[in-house]
Amino acid sequence: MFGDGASNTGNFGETMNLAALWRLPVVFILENNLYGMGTAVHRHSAVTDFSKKAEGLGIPGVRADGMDVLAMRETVTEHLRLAREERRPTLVEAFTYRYRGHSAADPEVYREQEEVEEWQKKDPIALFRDRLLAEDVISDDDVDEMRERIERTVVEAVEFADASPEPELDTLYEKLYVVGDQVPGWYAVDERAPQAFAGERERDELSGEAKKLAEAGAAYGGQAAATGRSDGEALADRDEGKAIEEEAPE
Amino acid sequence: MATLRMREALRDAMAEEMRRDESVYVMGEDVAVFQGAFKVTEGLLDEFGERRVRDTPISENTIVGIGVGSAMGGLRPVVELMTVNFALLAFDQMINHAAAIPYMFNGEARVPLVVRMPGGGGHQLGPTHSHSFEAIFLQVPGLLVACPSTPADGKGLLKAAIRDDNPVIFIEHETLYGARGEVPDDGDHLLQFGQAAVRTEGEDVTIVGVLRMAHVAEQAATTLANDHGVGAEVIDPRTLRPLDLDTIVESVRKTNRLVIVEEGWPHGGVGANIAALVTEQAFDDLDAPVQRVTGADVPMPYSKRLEQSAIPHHEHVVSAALATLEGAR
Repeated sequence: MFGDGASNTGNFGETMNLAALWRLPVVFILENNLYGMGTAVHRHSAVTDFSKKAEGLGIPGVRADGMDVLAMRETVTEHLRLAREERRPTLVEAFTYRYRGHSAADPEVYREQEEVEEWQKKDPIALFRDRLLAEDVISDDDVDEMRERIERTVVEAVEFADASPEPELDTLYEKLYVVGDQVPGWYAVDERAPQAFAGERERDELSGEAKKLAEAGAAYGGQAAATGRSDGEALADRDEGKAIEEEAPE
Repeated sequence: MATLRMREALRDAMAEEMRRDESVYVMGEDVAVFQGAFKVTEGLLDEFGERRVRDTPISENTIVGIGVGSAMGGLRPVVELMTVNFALLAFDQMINHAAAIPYMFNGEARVPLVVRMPGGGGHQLGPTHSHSFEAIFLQVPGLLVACPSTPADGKGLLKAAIRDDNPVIFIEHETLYGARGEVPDDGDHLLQFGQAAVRTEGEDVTIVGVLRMAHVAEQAATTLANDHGVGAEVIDPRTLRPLDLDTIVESVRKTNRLVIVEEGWPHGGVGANIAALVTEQAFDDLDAPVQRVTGADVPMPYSKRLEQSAIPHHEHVVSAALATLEGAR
């Protein structure tokens, strides 16, 4: 799966050619949500019918209504069959939309609010719910129960993440290498403090000046929480090029 | 022991590991039917077939990407890139993915991938085919970097690289493929990464030479001994990550002088890195500024005269070594 924007990278062409050449059993799902970050498709791609974009490389494609749950299911099912039974790689363009900005720092100057509202009327979850209700597959109570259950799952996940401890500073270099024959121990060159450097094979647990410097660095990591700002705001500052250091530390 | 050329030693390393382990396979541009642009994969297609010796389109980033993905899925791919220069097209997969994935997934995903590539000048292949980028790869945490200069080291390091669970950048030198040397027959001849070889022992000056420059350093040591009465200790680091800094520092503590020879560019090079590390570790043991002998700070010229003048030769190394000894004798 990838987006409309990624179809402009060189890797798109390389990958489509190789998948077709080697008859790999793959369904490529191209999620066309009309914007690559903040650039509209007609401003970033000469071909905006993305189902056609890999045809010349040997990958036929179709455009499916990405706002229709059953249409997507039907199309992808058939293409999975082609991949599994005939080893024919294909591309499915899911024609859809992105309601929110690309990130928390996206001021959305590239589109009108009316456009977002038009697409929200075609919301695939709402439409599918209405259809299931209309055909008596589910009841209003079922919908309420589902919504509560999903909300609970999300809230619990956030609570779990918030309650999880910060990693120990000693773990900074962990899992960088698979320790084994060629990398016998904790392996790093850290030249930020002379005491921290003890060769490339092994070094002791943080202590002394190295520990002090590691803690000084880590203290910056706690700043967002300490000032009560959200990570989204911190991200916005970063994206606007504001130096984090400008924030008055508390 | 058998006398083999570098290309044969590398081929044997791959063939032995492929016989030993079904999960090892070879992939790259012209590695199968053509048998390798430098004939390193000669005979592999015949023995192992199309499934395990795969020709690919000219799609470096995607080839390495397939290597990364299949390594994560349990295979041990050996990807050949036709030259170090072409490796630049695959930096996204090597640096953003291969090197970072084990760390990003907290060790739950491994990338036992080897990416082989030849670099270096001397064949008049011009600036798009003959650069030396050891220093660029050396900078990346998560990668291991090998740069063998002899057939025995080539075989031992490549076999070790294939068996190791970390992504390895394996840099070969275009002009060393025909070089002969004694190679152990033992199927388990493995070299340890991070273990330098002391090629020549000496008391007066330490010379570190990388890839082909290890040979140039040895030539220089002969001249220094015969014409100047200077005993040079020549060290071939063999791998740059991990780097056997201990052996280099130990030698500098004895000779008090250091020259580093590499074919790559001077700024931010292998020599710059080793000079900084040695200065940090053994400043008080140095009796003279560390000297670097590097390739010229230009894209590799095509003209034979200019190409040869852009590459370090043993005269440069002799001159640098003598400079560290100025006033001492």
